[in-house]
Amino acid sequence: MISFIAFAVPAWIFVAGLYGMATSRNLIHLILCLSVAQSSTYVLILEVGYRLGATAPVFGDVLPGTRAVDPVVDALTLTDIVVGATVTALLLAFALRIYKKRQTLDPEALRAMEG
Amino acid sequence: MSERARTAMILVSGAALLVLVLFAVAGLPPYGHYPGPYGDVLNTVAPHERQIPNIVTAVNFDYRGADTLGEEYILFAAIAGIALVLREDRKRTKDEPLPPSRVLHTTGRTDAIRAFGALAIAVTVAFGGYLGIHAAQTPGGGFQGGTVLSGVGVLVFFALGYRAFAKLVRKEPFEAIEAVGAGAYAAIGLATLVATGAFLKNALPLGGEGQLFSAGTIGVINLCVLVEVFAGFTLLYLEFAHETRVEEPEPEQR
Amino acid sequence: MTPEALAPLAFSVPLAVAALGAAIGPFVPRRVLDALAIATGLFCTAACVLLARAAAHGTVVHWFGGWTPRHGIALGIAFAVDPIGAALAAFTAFLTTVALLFTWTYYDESGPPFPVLMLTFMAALIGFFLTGDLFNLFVFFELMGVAAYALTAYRSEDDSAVLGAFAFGVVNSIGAFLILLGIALVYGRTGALNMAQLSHALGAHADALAILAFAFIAAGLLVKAALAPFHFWLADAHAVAPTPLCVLFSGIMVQAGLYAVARVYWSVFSGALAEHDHVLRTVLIAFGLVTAFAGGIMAFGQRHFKRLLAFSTIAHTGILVCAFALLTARGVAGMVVYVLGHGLTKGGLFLCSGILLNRLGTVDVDVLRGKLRTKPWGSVAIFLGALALAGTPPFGTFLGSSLIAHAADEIGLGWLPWVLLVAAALTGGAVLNALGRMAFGWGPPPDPRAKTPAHESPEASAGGDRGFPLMMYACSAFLIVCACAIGLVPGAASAALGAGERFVDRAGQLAIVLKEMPGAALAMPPAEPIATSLASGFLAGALALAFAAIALFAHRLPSGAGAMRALESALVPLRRIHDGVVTDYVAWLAAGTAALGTALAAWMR
Repeated sequence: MISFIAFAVPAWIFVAGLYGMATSRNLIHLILCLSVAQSSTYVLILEVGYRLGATAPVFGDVLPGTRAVDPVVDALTLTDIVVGATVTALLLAFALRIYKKRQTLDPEALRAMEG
Repeated sequence: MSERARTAMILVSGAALLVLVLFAVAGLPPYGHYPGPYGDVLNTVAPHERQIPNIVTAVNFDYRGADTLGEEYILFAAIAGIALVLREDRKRTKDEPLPPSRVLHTTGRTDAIRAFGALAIAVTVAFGGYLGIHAAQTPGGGFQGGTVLSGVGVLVFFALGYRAFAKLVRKEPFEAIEAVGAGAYAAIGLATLVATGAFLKNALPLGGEGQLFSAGTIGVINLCVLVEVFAGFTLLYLEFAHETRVEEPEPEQR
Repeated sequence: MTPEALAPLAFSVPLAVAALGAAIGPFVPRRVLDALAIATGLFCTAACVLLARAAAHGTVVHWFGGWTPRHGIALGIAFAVDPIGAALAAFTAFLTTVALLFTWTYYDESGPPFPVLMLTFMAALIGFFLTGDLFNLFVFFELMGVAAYALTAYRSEDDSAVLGAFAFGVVNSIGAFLILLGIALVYGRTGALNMAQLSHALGAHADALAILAFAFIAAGLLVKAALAPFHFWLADAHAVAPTPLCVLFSGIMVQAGLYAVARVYWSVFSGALAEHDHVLRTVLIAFGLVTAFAGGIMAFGQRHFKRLLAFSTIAHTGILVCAFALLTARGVAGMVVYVLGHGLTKGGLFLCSGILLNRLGTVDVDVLRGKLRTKPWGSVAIFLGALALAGTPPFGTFLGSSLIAHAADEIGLGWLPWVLLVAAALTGGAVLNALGRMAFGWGPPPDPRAKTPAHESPEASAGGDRGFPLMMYACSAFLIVCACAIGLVPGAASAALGAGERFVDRAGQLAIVLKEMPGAALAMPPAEPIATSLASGFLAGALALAFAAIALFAHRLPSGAGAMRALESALVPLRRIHDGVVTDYVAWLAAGTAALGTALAAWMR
């Protein structure tokens, strides 16, 4: 049961983020929904590397060989978060520029090209 | 597409995707029972071979160092893109003084805010530096420390004001610092390639476990990352801070 | 210098030079940076060509950090370079060099960011082609993306450029985290990230997890490849991005997405999914055909020449996906040759459009009506490019499509090449239609009620003879000539077939990568004589001319005008879907992913 709940959380976050993006009326809101959807992957990756009753993979105070969680998923998530943050920043800069030129952030009103 | 059509489409697709993902995760091992072997092998060999307590740092900068190199450049390219887009209509040379500017939304900046801000800055610098340097020994590292340190820029902006921030953080030195950080990481990789035949091979002396200068190239790379993340994010905040100002026309002569 | 050391050099040298360029950029004249970038491009081209030759004798493997595998478990990241990956990496470097040469005279005031970002983009693509690790693939995917978003918004004074870059960024970012979702699933099952190790650990049977993990990874990569319904971002981005960048986008970046799908399938999932390959084939061919025809039809209605070329790229993606969907070594060989031929042709055509923008100030076909008469060589280049797009001999696209046709015949899908031929002829015809209007003023008079495309400001001062404008013509002509030459290289087909065999050899790769056994030389199976294909190749060219003739002259016939109007109104719904609204793109992406995943999961049980 707990497995199901644990893994259903990222599934839900992912879908909720996509829904938010598709129904958004504001570019800033859209970017933040993208962040939410991205965070679902962080949660899933960290969950697959978790071990019940194990310690962090830092063997400063504990002896090497103690049961520890997977360090690889931690490293992957670190990389992921930086990537996600920088892409969010870039998209926010784009949104800011668009607002300065077009005075609106409504996706329906902002059409680059049609047809 | 009309809004209703789009909402219908995303509701149906979203429901389908939810079901698909649930089906997929049903095949995973039960939560809390990581099967290995990648993590377990690393936990076993890394402390010994690299004299390093923090295995996550070892994975980031040594075992999977090429990923971190790529990610550094993602930061680098994104900052370049942000500067490109936001700097378009602010073509100032570095010699001109700051233009007169008017705050768009103002809150009072009292002495208490200034004092507390200065204190917070001091604490942040110390903590960020501590976090960033001790990558090998503690759960810290260049990314974490660099991000905290770049928060100093935001604190300066809020506590001491835009002018103080803009004077403190000049774009050219920070751009150069950021570029050096990124380039140094690639250069270390190339140097180790030439020296040992493997890119990013940990070739420096390893030192003892738990010492500050240990784990060879991991420490050096960590510093490069610290510098680059700090400079990059500070530039980011600077660009966005500039956007809170409006160019004021010349005052009329009465 | 062992060949194995070339692999990390090929992607890290441009990164180091990019950082150097950013550091010294404000202090040196622009020419120095441009020259540095071009030199780096040449170096990478040479390095990747050498790497391809070395890979012909056995997959070249480089373990980063010196972390060789222990007891069959990979500890570090590996670059596993096979001939196809190296060839495509070399092609990337080559196209980037030509694009940078084109920029030499093209941009008046471009600062340091342009060559710096172009080098980063090239490095990301090269790493993408060479890597043998799944998460490393994701990192390069994101790096390629970020550099591309930044470069698309380069002319940020034009707000539609930033808007196009925004849509591009949002849609491709969703694709990226779809890939990550798939990676999380397979990592949770196997605890491995190295492609060879993953294939070993996934076993021989697929359950819902493996099928869906592949579906998500493929969906994310196919967003980059612009398969329908993930393709909307491409037309918007191409219309606003600087021309040298469009060369790279349509020439190799989009195809890189498809290469990665093929790579992930063959290197990781082909063992587990082998028993269901007919399902995958059907589903992918369905998506591919829809894409091919949607792209071809949309191309016909475009007034904006670059957007027309973008839709043609989308159509060719559909064709290439069908080639991959054959799931055989020969299909892969045909796909790769087609990618090379198409990339050169499309690159040349985009450079022609850049010359149009520079010399005549616009890429609007209706505004340029009849004006191309003054540029006979430009018209010839576009004419040849259009025929190449249709797959006429002797161009590289013809060689590719004949290999694809043989591959399809082998597995009993003999009808497929004919359908693909029509789709390719549609895109060729669309370009010829545009050419007819621009060069001779043929075609029905422009509809005054038609919406004008967004104004594209000239990318450089028009008419200026500063510098060496001949360089621009030379670059574009060079690419078209190469597109022709690739089809004529003796032994090209055999080499491609041998490389295809190597690409699909999962067990062999496992042995080389994880067990460090030496590789074998490339087999060179004889290619079928192409005499029988020549007829269908010329037919494709003729069909393209026919399509263009219908579009240009049908209105002069008594019932022709009415028929054309009926056709136009039938196509309005398709055009209306391409409305430029980002949230629509997201909805289509979700729908497409759900459809792909459901189709594969339901039928592969």
